[in-house]
Amino acid sequence: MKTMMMLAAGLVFLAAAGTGPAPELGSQEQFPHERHAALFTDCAMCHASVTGQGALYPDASFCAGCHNGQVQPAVDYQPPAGGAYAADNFSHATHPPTPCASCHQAAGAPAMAVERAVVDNCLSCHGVDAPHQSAPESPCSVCHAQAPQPASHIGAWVEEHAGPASSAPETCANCHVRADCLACHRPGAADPAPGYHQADYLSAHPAEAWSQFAECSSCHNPGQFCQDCHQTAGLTSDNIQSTGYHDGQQGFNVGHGQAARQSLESCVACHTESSCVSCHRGVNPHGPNFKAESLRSRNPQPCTVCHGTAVPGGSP
Amino acid sequence: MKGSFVRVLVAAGALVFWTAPALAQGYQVRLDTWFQSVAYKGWSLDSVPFADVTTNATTGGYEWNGFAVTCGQGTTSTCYYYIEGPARQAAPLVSTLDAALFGFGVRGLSFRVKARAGTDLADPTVWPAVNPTMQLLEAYGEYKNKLLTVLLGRFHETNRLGYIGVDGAKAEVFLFDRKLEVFGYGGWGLARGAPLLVTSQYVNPLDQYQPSERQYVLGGGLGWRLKGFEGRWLYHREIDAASSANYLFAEQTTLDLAWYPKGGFSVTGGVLWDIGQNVVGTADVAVGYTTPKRNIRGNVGWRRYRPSFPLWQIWNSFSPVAYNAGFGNIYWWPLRGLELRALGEIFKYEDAEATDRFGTVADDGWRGQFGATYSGIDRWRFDGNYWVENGAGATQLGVDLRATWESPIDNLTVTGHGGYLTRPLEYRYNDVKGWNGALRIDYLPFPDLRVMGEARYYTEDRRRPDAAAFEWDQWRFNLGVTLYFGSTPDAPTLHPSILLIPEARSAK
Repeated sequence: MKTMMMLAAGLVFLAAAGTGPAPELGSQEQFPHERHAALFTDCAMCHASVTGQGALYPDASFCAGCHNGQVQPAVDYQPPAGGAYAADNFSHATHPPTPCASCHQAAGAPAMAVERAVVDNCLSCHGVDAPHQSAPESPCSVCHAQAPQPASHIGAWVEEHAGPASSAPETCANCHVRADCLACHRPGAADPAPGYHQADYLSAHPAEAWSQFAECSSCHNPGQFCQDCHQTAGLTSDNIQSTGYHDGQQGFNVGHGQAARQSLESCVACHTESSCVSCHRGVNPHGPNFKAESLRSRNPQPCTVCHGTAVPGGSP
Repeated sequence: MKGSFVRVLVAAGALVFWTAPALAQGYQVRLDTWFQSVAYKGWSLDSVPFADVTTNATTGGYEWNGFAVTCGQGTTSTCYYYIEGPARQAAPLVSTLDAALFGFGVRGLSFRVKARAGTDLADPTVWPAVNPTMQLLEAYGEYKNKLLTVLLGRFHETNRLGYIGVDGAKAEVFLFDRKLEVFGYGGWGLARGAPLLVTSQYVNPLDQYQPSERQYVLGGGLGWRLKGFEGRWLYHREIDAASSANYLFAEQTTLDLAWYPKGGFSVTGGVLWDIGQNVVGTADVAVGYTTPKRNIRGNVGWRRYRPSFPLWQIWNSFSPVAYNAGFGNIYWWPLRGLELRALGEIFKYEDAEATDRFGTVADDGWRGQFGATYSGIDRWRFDGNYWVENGAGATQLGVDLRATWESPIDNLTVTGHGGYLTRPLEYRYNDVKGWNGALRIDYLPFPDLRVMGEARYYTEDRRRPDAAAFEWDQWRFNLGVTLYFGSTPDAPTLHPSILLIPEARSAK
């Protein structure tokens, strides 16, 4: 553990040096187009590449012609390196001539109130019959050679995505359809490993299932996926006395309370309700945070398994 | 075997029928077919009278004929032990159809189907989740515009509660330029983690009590997407349809929040309140940071895990306890093409309030992982991971190495993979050391067709201090075909889950 922490600390230290190059650009210019509406009447004055010649963005010296600290305040401007389009399948040079405003202004917007291409405007000509990013009806490849990757989707995003996705699933729906979620969260029985799990997870799964790193039953039905397989493997038991499986601890069945409460999902993967109740009908299984009244008032049927018709508190 | 073949034919016929979009003006269909040949060894239970067992001088445990045995109380009891079981060979074949049909003259109207046909060609009783042969995961019509989304059919609700299958309807209304969302859904529920009914025999292999009728599902809530601050509140209830008293299967509420302040920070978290049990369920909060150069990404946080069982089962009465964990991870890209990563977590269970007469049950643990990926050499990608877990009840240590080569022939990749795992278990003489190595080929002969094949050699050493120890090895095989049909220019030939696989990323 100490070694791990030292290594982690070392990584943090090295990381702080920040020696690596940025993997990609994330900036977007915020040029006040409207304030310059009277000055620039032709978009190509600054964005020469739309005519097939020159750069997409003007050079800093172009701005400094006015913003030199005397005529106008100096500005700290540098053209974005690369200047890639979000729509990387699009080329101004090869696209049929179209007024700039037809793509770069929303309907009814004032002059020079320009923005990145209004995708609904693009799609209105390209025969797409759904709102933008309502995949798959909106063909991404009309504009995108490869679907743009959000800035958040780096590092441990696969592990981290549950929180942001639960907070705002509509954001995910910009690019993903429901079926995308099920691709990982409802795996096919014969899908080749590794998908969500590492290769040879068949051997590795007991440790992770026992320690409950993740909730297996979010994706796997405990009956269909756990009990069914364990039954075939000879691990299930409907007789609590035949606890030969726990052979590393003699008398496990009379001292298993802590282990069971810590990892009840694992117990349930092999043991039936009836096998546990055979003893616990006489040995109180209720422990911390057992809210009898709350459970009884919502569904007293499990109570009757041990208590019969004499459920404490009576029937709701 | 003949029965399996017939089932496959029927499944294939049904899938072909479904892929015929006779009436649709636009369609996308992806058909994934996977075959796997794999075996595993289980155990066979045996017994011996207590009078015949002896005490092992080293372990202090009972044994008979070299086997460790466990005995009931009393000298007349029977002792039980497990011996090596037979190898169980499985050969699951599964086809998944994922189809979207649209362009019906109503902007925003589409129909989507996700269905699966599966069988085990070797033994239909061995591999899980291939029964029943046909499984309908989703099938719904969807209408959406800027103010409203309506679903009708079989769909899943995705949230902190997991995946909730519903046969019914859902409506979402978006207000204030889609910044506020009010939603509600209702219908009949599916079993947890399966596209089957809670009354299905296939989710009850041990023949336990199960409901006689499927449950009603009702839920709703609201979400908001303000600038830099997003959140969603949900209330969910499942009602026993067979009960005149409206007994509940579940009653839960969740709150999820995400805050994205400037400067590369993110704060996300949420909590599940199990109203039925009147306890706090799973919860977490994490702070993330990405440097301005986007060459470092890290997270630190806290999380709590507590399992949720349906209210119709008895398991809530056994008081499962939660664990609380502090975690962190860091990803660093020091050079173009090089990723270094480290992840770690320390966890501790809450007091189980159970008397442990052995005095040996751990209630805390930790887990960690180091990994690196390098793709800075043309046509090559190297990936390695080392992980270790040391905790209550189970320990594991593993190494995973992978090298992928993209051939000069377009869209052909070859991957070599090797792995090692050791996995001692508590309460159980069942230490495992396993090695495996594999060669895999991914090929996209056409943009709409992908095939893959993998051969893996697997060897396992079940290390036990008694006669039940054994070693065995096997070859495992995977074959897969992904086929895409579509009327639109998009060709999502790769299944989203396949993109998680390093070699598949390079194959795209």
